[in-house]
Amino acid sequence: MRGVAHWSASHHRDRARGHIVRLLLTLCLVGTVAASASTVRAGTDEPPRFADGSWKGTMVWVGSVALPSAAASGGSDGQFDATFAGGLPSGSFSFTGTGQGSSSSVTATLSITVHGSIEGTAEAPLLVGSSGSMSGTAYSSGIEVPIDVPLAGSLGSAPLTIVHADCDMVTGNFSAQIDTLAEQVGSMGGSLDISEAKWFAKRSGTDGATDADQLQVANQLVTDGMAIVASIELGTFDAAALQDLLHRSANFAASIEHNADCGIGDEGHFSSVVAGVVTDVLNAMLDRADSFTAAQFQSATVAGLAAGVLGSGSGESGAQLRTKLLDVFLVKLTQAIADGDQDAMFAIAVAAGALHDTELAAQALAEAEKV
Amino acid sequence: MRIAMSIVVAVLLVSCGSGDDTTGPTTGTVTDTTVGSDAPEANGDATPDTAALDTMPATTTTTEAAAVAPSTVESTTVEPTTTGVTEPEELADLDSLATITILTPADGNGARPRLEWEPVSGAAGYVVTVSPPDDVAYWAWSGAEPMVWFGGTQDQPPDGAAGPSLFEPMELRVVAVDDADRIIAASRPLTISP
Repeated sequence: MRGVAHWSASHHRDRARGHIVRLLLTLCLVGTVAASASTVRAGTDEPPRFADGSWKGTMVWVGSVALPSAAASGGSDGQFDATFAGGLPSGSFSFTGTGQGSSSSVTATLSITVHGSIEGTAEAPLLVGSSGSMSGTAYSSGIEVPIDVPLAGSLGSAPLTIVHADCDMVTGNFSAQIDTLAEQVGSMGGSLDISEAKWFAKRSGTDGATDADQLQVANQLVTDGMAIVASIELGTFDAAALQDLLHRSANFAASIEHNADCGIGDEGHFSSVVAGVVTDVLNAMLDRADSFTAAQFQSATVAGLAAGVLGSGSGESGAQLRTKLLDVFLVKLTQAIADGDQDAMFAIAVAAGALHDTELAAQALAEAEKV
Repeated sequence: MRIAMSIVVAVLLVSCGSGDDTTGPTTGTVTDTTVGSDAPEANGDATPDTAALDTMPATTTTTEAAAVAPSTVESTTVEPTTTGVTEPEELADLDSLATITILTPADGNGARPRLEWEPVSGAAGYVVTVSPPDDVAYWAWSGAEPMVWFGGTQDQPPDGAAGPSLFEPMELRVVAVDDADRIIAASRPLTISP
């Protein structure tokens, strides 16, 4: 999304000139990828990728924008079109995302529209922007401030990094794309900080209306999952919210027809609409392990298994998470022993058993029996 | 064999916990289950998957680790006995936890079976894990109901739906938690087949 961006002079009319507005930006982008249908075999240890076929996707950005003076308002819509055939994508995409925000004196909504093509490979698809704009309206102290930012010329490319994939669902992030947008906003004298950027794609069915409904559900699931991650980053683990998210995600999976012969993964390999955010949940907790209890890590482990990011079919990425979790559980067990915390020992025994660390599980059980 | 392995683990733990290689004094203890003469199958290979908790040992003893001499250690790792020192292998082995009886049959379950167990008094929720033999768990679930369809739904999923599937025999375990998220009951593993 590199390119030249120019703010219109209109936003400088704002009386609150010089004031920096923190704008919470949530962009929900819905896309469709159409494809033909040959397959390539891939094991679970191979990089995740799109299988050939038709796909529909949704994207979620959550972040903040600081603009010199003003606030903005606008609408939102999005579409994403491309074609995968023989492991290679082609086609086009377009999307519009809208963010809203407010401060004590300013409210704003900002729309970003980008058009381009899908290039790259099935393992590393690229969004290549060809045209776009940023627009909206700002209100500050009752003054309307239109914003019109054409994105002229080449907008550069943005990788759609794939985190998890199976025959039916693919999830990932696009942080590189956000970095480019941040550069553009920075060139305008503002700043853009995207804290989360996720996308999800499902193999499309024959009923476009069903696809649209499913993508709406998926978008909400990913959005809710990102909120859970944000809470964890603040030190709060909401087990009930995570459990609810997983239940809704399971219902979502049940609404999607499984394509058994796409060549992705080993038998039984599965992913989830929230695989990406559950991975983030685990990583966020691992990054601040002291803030969470053994029971909370046990709940997160169950979530990882439920979402297919941690279990026996999760490949190398799952194995790495498992190792990190077991390191934490070992520390937690040491603490539990010191505290005589039998409940923690039980939780560690369950988690370590599920992660197939029989020695750690046995140790937790033995210690629990002493208490 | 499992008893022998567990004894090995127990001995290793004793050694590690003591902070002393072989003969020195130790402050560590080993809490062990003394298996009664009528109960060895509960921890043995014969019935690891279907034994109910009511077959589990009822007595518990505590042995000072220092009392386990190296020579004794070596011999017990080879020859398990029904009265020797063993470690609990499952949560269900612990007397402090109640028993969960799994109702799902062992065979003929299909790819997306209904997983069900007897409700536990005082339970606010349950945690289910499903594991291939001798491997990391394949799938897990937590929820308030004493049942779930494989994949995590309360309603039977349509044939051919996306999500995890029971594609080979796997071990099903269930634990119950109270409203403070404390584990209060556990099942013994049950191997379920498609």
